Amino acid sequence: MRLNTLLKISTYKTITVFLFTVCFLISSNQVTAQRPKVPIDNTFLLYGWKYTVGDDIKFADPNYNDKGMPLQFLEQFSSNEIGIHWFRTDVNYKVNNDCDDLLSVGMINVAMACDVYWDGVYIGSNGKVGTDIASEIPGQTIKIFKIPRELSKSGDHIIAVRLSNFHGNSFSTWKRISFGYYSAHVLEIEETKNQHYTYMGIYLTALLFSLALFFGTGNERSYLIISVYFLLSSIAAYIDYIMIAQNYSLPVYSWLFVFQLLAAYSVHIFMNIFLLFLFSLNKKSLHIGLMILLLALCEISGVRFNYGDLISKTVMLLYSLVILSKGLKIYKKEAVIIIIGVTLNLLVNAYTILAVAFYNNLVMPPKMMIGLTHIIMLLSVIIALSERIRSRNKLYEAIRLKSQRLENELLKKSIQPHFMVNTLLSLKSWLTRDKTKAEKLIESLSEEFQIINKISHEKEIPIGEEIILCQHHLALMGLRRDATYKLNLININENENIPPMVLHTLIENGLTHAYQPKENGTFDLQCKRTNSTFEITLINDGSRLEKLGNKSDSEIEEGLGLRYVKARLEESYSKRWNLEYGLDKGKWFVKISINKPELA
Amino acid sequence: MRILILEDEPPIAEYIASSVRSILNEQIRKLTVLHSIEEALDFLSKNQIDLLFLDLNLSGEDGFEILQDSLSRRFQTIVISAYTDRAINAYEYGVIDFVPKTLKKERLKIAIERYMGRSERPEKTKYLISKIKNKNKVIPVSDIVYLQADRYLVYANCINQKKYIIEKPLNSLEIILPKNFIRTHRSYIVNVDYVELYDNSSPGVFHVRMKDQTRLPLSRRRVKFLKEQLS
Repeated sequence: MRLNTLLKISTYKTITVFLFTVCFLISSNQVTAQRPKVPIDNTFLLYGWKYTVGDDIKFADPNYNDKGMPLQFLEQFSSNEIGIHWFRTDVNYKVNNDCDDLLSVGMINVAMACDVYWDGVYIGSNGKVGTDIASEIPGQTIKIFKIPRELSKSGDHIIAVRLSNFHGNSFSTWKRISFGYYSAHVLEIEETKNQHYTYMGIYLTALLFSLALFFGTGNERSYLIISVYFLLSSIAAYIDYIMIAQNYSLPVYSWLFVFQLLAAYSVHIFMNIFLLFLFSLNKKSLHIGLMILLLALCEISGVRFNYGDLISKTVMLLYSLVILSKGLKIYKKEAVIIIIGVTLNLLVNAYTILAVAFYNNLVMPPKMMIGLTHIIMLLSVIIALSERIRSRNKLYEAIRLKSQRLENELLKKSIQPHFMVNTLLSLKSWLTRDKTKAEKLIESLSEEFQIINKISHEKEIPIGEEIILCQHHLALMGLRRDATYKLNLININENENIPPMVLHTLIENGLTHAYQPKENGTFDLQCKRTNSTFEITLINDGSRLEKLGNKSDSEIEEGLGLRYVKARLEESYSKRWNLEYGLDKGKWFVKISINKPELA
Repeated sequence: MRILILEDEPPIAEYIASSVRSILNEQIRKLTVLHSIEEALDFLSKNQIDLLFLDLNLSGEDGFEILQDSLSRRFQTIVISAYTDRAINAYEYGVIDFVPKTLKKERLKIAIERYMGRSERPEKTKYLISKIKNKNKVIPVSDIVYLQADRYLVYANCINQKKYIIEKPLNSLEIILPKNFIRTHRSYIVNVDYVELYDNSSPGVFHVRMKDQTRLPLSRRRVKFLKEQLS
């Protein structure tokens, strides 16, 4: 069984398998992140810090007067100054007597090197703080400083950090300082690491799923783009993972952060490019240019230093909504499904931005929630894709059935009893009167049937082949009606394609309605080609057309023949065609314009 | 016999003509072959015919209207068509015969014999056509109580006291009407379903009394036949 057939049959089965995989990955993450058997509390972030530039050991002193100094949110801190800096903040806690664990200060990506003081007492270093690039030794990405038990009494305490950034200004990247039991810090790092690993697995599964869709459903570009999106997302998740798992030295982390940022921006853009293709929007290049411009503006404005990529992500999600609102008009169901995913993401994003801006009053949303909204977004995309495939299959089936019906009608039209009987009776008559004509009639009939049998199941055939069919039909009908019919060909490129039996039907119509028996007739077939349009005009004379001369266009009834021609054109060119007909200077004309580019 | 052949394909028309000629020989007084309705209507407005051979599909037009028109006229019609599924319908409207377009000569001969009353026609006529103000009025034969000839016209007297003119002569109608229609007199055909009794109140004078008490003349030589039918 071909892959696309398999996909058509089991789209929902595939989704089920995908959902199952996601659930499995999430649950396996729970297993690896089993809590250790020590009583611990959660760690909490130390947001607010007081800050000074320059080296001043007095800043570590618990009695140092910092009352006039403003409190700054660590995430918002974006000084460009290179040198030694001091941070200090206060913590208040109550000792848990049931717990044997040590309290600790956890740091991720804080400057290049630092010394940490607890109530003025030095408790450890990450690398070596220096006075220049030569004397500074960069530390590791993650470092946990244990606080000696004898110093961790209940009450108020001062944490001070002395740091230097000669190897790179890591202030501009994401950073975090937290306080809590040592085991809680270790567990948290382990959990974060596993979380990124799980996301990577989910995105890779989605990548396989979308690649299968791409190769299985006729190489549609939107599936390839969403594959790139999933690939970039898994790369971003992998960078997040190794940044924690490998605990690189801080200059390496800074470089990795640039890659991570690039991956994140690409992810945002590719999601919207995917939506552009999924909903077949025009001016895609313009949209992509606009998105890059918006991201560049976010970067230049410096909002990233305060909010990471939260703002740029929000801007891109809003852009997604713009695309989706346009998509709603044509693909309502798919658009609504993805709008749900985008809106959820936007809400959590908006709340996170508020939490960062008002860090004194609002609590940051739990990581799990952010992760969940990612998964919901991803699922909404997968479900929308499946919905698209389902509707495509339905449409494909409908077209196939219509095509089959047309083909049957076509065959029936050509071999219906009265056509055959009349032809054979004419043959019987010619056999007794003129054997040469009888032979010609048999030849034309068999040629006509052979061609019809060959072309009827085709969607398009070269016009040259259709013309041969028409010539045989005219010869046959000439013998049946004791007349001569001529087909003049003007400006014909025999390789241009048209749906089968279209000209044949029009000529048959002309023969039936325009001529008296024994009356000779002329058909002019003219083609015109521009870069984007192929135009066919068939004109015929005939004494019976006079009757139509008194009728208005609306009074001229559209018969089975014209309806058949229209159905064929619609099947082959879906709205990209036009058909005009009527009387012009006593002659009947049918003009078909097809909007299709010239053959190479 | 004056014959018109209306067929839009000249070779087929020619074939029918030669077949008819070989069957009827000298009995043909005039045989005309035409290919279009317009020509035929023009011809019929100027000429009388006895028998029409009609193709039901002329130049892509449904010939049923033409058929109804021809059936309202004095002459008889034999349909020649490839649309055999319409045969029953044609019989119902009173065509003498429906010859399928395989057009075997033997079959054509039977049709002509039916026209001449020498061969039985399938008893299928359900309607007669009357022309009222140039429009065809379809009269169900079951509604006809009796038919009366008056000079060149025939009147169909129906159950609702209505009278319709039928252009066909009684002789032609006798051939196409079902068996319950009996010729009781040279000017009358009665529907036995509506006959109450026959009597001969005066010696040698016979009458048919219809259920609506109408008294119609009855030929002496038809008495026996009617008696058989009523019993």
